[in-house]
Formats: sequence, C-alpha cells, structure tokens
Amino acid sequence: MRPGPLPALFTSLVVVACANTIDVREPFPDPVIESLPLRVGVHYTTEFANYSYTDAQTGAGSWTLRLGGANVSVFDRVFVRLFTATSRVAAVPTGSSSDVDFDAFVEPVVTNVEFSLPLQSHTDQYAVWLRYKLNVYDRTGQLLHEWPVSAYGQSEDRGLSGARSMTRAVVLALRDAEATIATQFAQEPKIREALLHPKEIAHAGAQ
Amino acid sequence: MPARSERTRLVLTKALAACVSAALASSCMTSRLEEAKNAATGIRADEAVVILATSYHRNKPTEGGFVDCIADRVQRGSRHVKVYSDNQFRDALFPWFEPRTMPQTPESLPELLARPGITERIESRGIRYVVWLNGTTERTGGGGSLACAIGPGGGGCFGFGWWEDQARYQAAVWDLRQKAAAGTVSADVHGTSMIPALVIPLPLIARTQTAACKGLATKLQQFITESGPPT
Repeated sequence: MRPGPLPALFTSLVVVACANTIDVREPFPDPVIESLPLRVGVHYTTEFANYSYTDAQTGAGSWTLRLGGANVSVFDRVFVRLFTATSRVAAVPTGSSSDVDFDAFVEPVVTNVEFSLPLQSHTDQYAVWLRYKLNVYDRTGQLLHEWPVSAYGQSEDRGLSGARSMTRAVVLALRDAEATIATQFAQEPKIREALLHPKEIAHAGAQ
Repeated sequence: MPARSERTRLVLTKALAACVSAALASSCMTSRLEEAKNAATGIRADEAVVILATSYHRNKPTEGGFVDCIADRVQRGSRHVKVYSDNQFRDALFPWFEPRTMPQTPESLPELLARPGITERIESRGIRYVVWLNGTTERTGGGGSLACAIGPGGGGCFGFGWWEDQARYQAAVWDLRQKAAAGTVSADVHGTSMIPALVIPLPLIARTQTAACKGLATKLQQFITESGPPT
C-alpha cells in the first residue's frame, strides 16, 4: 500500500519546523580606537564572504549559521578604524614586487565554528564559538603572521524563539571578534615588530 | 431550591477567591537589603545611569529579565532616576564594555576614561553612574509529591509539592565623574513556594526574583539620589 499524501506532508512540515537558519543582518558598531599608521589592503576570499556552517546532529533539528555577510561587515568595520587607510584588493600580491600603495595586506579566514544549545549544555544558554585566522602579509605578499582570533558569545533562552536567542549569541561572538582585533592587533609581538616598529622608528627619525 | 443552590455556589466561589488572594498575598519570603557607601552620591535631573550585567566570562550570567526589571523600576516613583539604554551605551563605547573587555575593577576606570573619545562620549550622553548587576535566582531545595489524573468522569490533583528559591543580587555603583566606586547595594531574598492539592491545586508561589528586583531598585534609587555621607 502506498502512503497517502498526508504522512508526506506531515514529514515535510516537521523537517521545515526543525531546520533553523541564522542570517545575521544586525549592524555592527564602529570601534572607538586610535588608528595605526598603516595603509592596508584587505582581501576577503569567496569562502570567507559566503561562509556558512551547518550542524544537523544537534538533537534539536538542523542549525545553519550563515556568517559570510556578517563576517565581511564586522571585519570592514574594524579595519576601517584600525588603520589609517584601507582598500579591498582582489588578491594578495605574490612575488617580490612590492605594492607601493600598501604597507601590508590582511586576509581573514574562518578556521572553526561551534555552538551549543540549551538541550546540549543543560543550561538556559545558547553559546557560539568562532575561530578565525588573520593572515598578515607585508607589502610584497610575504606572510608575516597567522594570528589566531577566538571569539565567544552566549545568550539566554528568554522564552524567545530559539533562533532569536541563537542570533543574539552569534552577534555577541562577532562583536567579540571585532573587539579582540580592535584592542589586540597592535599588541601582537610579530605584528608590532614587522609593521609598527619600523613606522615608529621612521616617525622618530623624521622628528 | 435552584436559587438557594446558586447562592451557595456564589458564596463558595467568593470564599475560594478570598482564600487564594490571601494565600498569594502572604507568600512565604524573607528578604535582606544592604548597602555600603564609599563616597557621597547624588544626581542631577539631566544626568543618567546605565545598568549593565557583569561579564559572563567572570560570573554566572545575571538573567536578562532581572536587568530589564531593575532598569524599569529605577525610572519609576518619586525618586526616579534616568536610565540610559545599555545597548546604546555599549555601541557608543565599543569595544570597551564588551564581555571580554569591560573594566573589571573601579581602579581600571581612570585608564579607560583617558582613552581618546571615551570621556567625551560619556559626558555628551549625561551618564554619571555605571551600575554593575551581578547575581542570580537559584532553586535551593524542593520536595513533596503531587499527582494529577483525568478520566471520563472528571479530573483532579492530590498531594503536596514545595520548593525553595534564593535570589541573591548585588549592584556595584561606579561614579564616572569621580572615576571611583561609590558603593554597593545588595538584595538577598529567600522564598518557599508550595502547591497543596485536594482535587483542585492551590499554588502559593513566592516570587523571589520580583521581590529582589523591587527591593534592590528602591534601595538603588535611594543610594544614588540621597547625597548623604558614606556609611
């Protein structure tokens, strides 16, 4: 006996009801920081700009975090304030020819995404971990540093829909990434040594 | 006869309603409110406070509903204090009040306020105090047994269930003009809720978190508006 249309309809409704997609469209704030004296070319790979993470084995349906648009928005915000001048570039240069327009190039990469639901953590919290790697290149395209940036956000289940609480946790994790880059970039020893010390010495020499 | 039966039912309904109201009004709670003042306070009509939960990297997160409740109640009554939106404050001072970067002690205030643009942004918004909320409401005990059943002839519950909640919150007040801690206000409310059931369950709920919110908000208003000497 062939199953009628009703069971199929019920199954598809359950599948739709249990598929959660988080697409962050919230604007991110401009950091209140002093700019570093650097002209930087910013390269976003297609993978980074369209990044999406899906976990179907949560025990509470399938969850997809579409992070690409938010990634670009967050990194644009922080780079514009962190450096005196920024421009998007189609690619990081290769070879020995130096690009006179830039002091350095940066290229963020998503290395890992994790989340936990209240059902999994036995708390009332939705939690999100984002891990990035910020590749920093000199003006010739030589890799200077691969800086790991970890970010975390959590949001309580306040009787909102699970998707709204998860969205809040993702937004907080993205803000954490932005805050970490804004406050820590200039503190990274390799970046200081390769990019900022020469500028400071040149500035002191000019005075 | 029908008229008498109707009258009896009305009297019983009124008696039951009165019992429930009396029981709910006299919920079983004990509360303790304390304050410790380090410096004289006071606030002008054009000044505001911002109420923030402490970082979830440091403590168990304070319930968002409790933070909202305090912010709402502090703005009410004869000693009302203007409250600036916590989200707008975080955005305006980003990234310095995020969970990872927010100042942990009042000693770090001078360094933070010396950063370019920070003091100007705080002053242009008229923010005088930051109130840091910390604490949670926890279930500390419970017991009893309550069973309900339903059948073709009707349904009902029998038994007795109870539980205890402890609401412990602290508000640390930082004076941004003085760049120092003004003091703390705390609320500790313990409540026992119970549900006796003989056919109809009669829930007697102790609203410990609401009581803590009311008490802490009132004490906080008093702490900020009364420019008395330190205690």
